Amino acid sequence: MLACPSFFAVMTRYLIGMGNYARQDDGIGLRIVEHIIDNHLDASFTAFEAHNDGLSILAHFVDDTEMILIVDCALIDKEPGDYLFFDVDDVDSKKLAGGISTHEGDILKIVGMAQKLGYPIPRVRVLAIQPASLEMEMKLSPTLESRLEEYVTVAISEVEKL
Amino acid sequence: MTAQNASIKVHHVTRVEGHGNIVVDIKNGKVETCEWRVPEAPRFFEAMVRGRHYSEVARITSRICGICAVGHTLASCKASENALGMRVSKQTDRLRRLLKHGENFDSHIVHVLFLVAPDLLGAPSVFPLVATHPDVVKKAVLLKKLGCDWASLVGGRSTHPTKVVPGGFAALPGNAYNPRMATEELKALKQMILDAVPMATDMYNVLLSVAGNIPNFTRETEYVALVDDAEYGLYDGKIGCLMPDGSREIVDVADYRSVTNEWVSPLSTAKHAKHNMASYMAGALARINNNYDQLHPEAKKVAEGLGFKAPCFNPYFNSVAQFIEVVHSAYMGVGYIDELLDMGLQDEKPVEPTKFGKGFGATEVPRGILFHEYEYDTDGFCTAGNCIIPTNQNHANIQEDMNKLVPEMISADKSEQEMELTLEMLVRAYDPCISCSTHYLDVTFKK
Repeated sequence: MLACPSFFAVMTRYLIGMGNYARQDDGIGLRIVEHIIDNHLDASFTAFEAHNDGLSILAHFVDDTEMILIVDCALIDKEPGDYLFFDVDDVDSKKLAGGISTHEGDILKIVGMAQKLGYPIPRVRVLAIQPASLEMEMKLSPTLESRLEEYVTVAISEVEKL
Repeated sequence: MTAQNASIKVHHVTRVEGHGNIVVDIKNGKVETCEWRVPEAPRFFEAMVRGRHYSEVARITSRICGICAVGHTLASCKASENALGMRVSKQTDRLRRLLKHGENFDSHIVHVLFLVAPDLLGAPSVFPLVATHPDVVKKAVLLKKLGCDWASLVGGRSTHPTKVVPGGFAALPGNAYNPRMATEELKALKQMILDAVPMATDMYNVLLSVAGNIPNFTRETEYVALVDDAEYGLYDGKIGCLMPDGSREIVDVADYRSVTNEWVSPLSTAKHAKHNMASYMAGALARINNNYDQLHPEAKKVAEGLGFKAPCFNPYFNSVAQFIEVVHSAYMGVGYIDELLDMGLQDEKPVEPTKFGKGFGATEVPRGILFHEYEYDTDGFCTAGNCIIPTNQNHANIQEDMNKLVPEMISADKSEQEMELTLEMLVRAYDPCISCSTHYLDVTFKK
């Protein structure tokens, strides 16, 4: 039997899914993390779903954290289903969030808050996937669903390559 | 502008979960409009569960809320177990109670320290507090992480838990393969909770220092919450309906519809509820008013220190009640871990159905009492479902509070700005979870 790390063991790389299951492709980050956990593909990093709860990410800005990869749906002026990686340092938020709550997470605001608190800032990368639809539905659009395994593969590759 | 002539239109009250609007119009000292409006679209979860196997239903209804996902999962499992004649083990019962306290701790920390504290500290959001109160924010972040780890360890993950299934648990706590390893995980969790208690004490001192900024407003109403002979009503029990005169009606969960009496308001896409009065309140204040004597002694000390006396009729004290529950949940969590360690964890399989029919389940989520009801056919597929969430039960009470509060503010000659803030604080005090809003990044690349 494989050695099982304690639940509280410190992992240094995080793959974090954000989004909302109920708004179709807004759930892509959650689906990717769900797939990774269900298939035990997270041996070298910790994967978890933050949903829209940016505050749960904030506590991972500690000395031991080498990198954080956020997986999320994003409006990036690409064809539906296409994706790109970027560092949070490379972008500005255009989103008009009224504040911060467990339903109003914005990773860019969270990073800014961590900086102001004097937390160590690891490299924070984002895998941004252009949605095909944000309608009220509990499943992904066929466009993104058909490419789910591709997103999983590139996300794992990114978080492991460092 | 003075209170004699004011027009308040708050679209999408901030620092609440979901979207609600406040509309108040006052002309020559007369209230022409005073409305709490909920414009969120219905999401039809009751329709989604129809035709689904009992093993899937909790995972679907958990998605009703990303904050109260543990509570929805527990209420759903309890309703299914009631319908299917499944009686869970003592170990499952204790693990679920431990999990419930983890969710309560997590959610209340976020609400009190991140969403309400800015009002009491005179800030528009938590962001300015990072500069003025960095130590408070840092401790709040650590407490939030503990709540998240706590629920994740027991439930598999804090949002939409995976280990809780009808009939029991799908896996032991943590990453454990066997009871011995799970025991070590629970011991580690216990130590983390104990280590956090001093930080919670620090937060108590902060709250105490700003308690004078809590609006002085009272309105007698009915308080509805779970009551349980075994403990402070949270995971299980009957429905306690406490009236302002101190009398209390106890109702079986199976008769929950006789309490909720849902009705449709033209101001809202969400249904309203009422029982013995025009409205009732659910949530931490309702729980404490119904269960004060069963608070953990350490939580009672905090309540006394904060000047809290049950029954309390000030809805703004719901946030104070939540903080008292944070302390209660921390100590109760430790108590349940000790009990589980004393019992000795076993590798148990979930129990199987013994019948098929209709069942009911209730549990308290951070925002109040939650009801689930399902009916299953003889193959275990759901034929009907009904879920009544606490925020819907609170909408009418928020409206009734506003109806009393606005004239009082006019009499006190409050400015329009003061009135607007006080009304927003009222809504926030209820910690409404109106519904999940969409979330996505919208970015522009730096040149």
